[in-house]
Amino acid sequence: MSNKNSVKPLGRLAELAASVVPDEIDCDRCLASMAEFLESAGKTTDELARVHAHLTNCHCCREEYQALRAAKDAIDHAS
Amino acid sequence: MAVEVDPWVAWLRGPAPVRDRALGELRSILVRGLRAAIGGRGADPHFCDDIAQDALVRVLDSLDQFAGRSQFTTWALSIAVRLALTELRRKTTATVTLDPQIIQSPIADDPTHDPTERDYRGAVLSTLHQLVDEALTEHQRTAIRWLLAGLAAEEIGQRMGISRNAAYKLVFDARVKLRDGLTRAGFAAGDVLQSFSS
Repeated sequence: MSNKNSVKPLGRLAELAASVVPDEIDCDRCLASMAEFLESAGKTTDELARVHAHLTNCHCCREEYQALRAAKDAIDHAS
Repeated sequence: MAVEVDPWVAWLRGPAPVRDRALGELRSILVRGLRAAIGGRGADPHFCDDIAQDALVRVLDSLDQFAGRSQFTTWALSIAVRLALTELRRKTTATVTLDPQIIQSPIADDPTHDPTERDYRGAVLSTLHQLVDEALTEHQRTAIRWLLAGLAAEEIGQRMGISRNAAYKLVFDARVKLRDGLTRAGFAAGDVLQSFSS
């Protein structure tokens, strides 16, 4: 199987351009709903779908979401 | 009908003894959560305590913004985690430099074996390269170069002297321009995504 990403970084840019959606939210709005998204347990709303889309495209917020999940797990298991 | 106030909000807005007890408990939760979330990242022993203190101030300033759609402690942790990772990123990416050649001309070493797909990808990349030069503003080109160098919105904002949100918007607007340009050139977003997705 060929490595489709060996044409980085321009290939990565093609992927980023093609994956853009019109109603993407910014990082602050993502943070405002991140806790709710973590606790949503499969519940879907338009805003939570936007959070999901933002997490797909934003490395910072995705990293923070993963860290938040680890933090919450630690608190929940300790209580 | 009276709106129910989250107990944490009531405690943190309560009289001094109640408020102080809540602050102490919340601080303890934040420190434990932070240690679990970023414990392996080489931060010094006082880092989590310092961030928890800063986060408490931020939480108190933002109490009006807590909408009750999650547990209060999860919301407070989300603020603490952002503060912690922002600080850690600032330290770890300080040495990344910008390569002006990072957006190279279309590639000659695409390992794709299928000649049809290779031609398609070459045409997409050639168009994309032209769009970067002609359709983007200088600010957008700079943001895109930082992004492709591996920086996230936070660090791009720091390098460019703008907020993380502004950096994300700059990159977003650039992506929209590039997608629209590719579409006008006959490359549908779905096809491009299928050909280039990791």
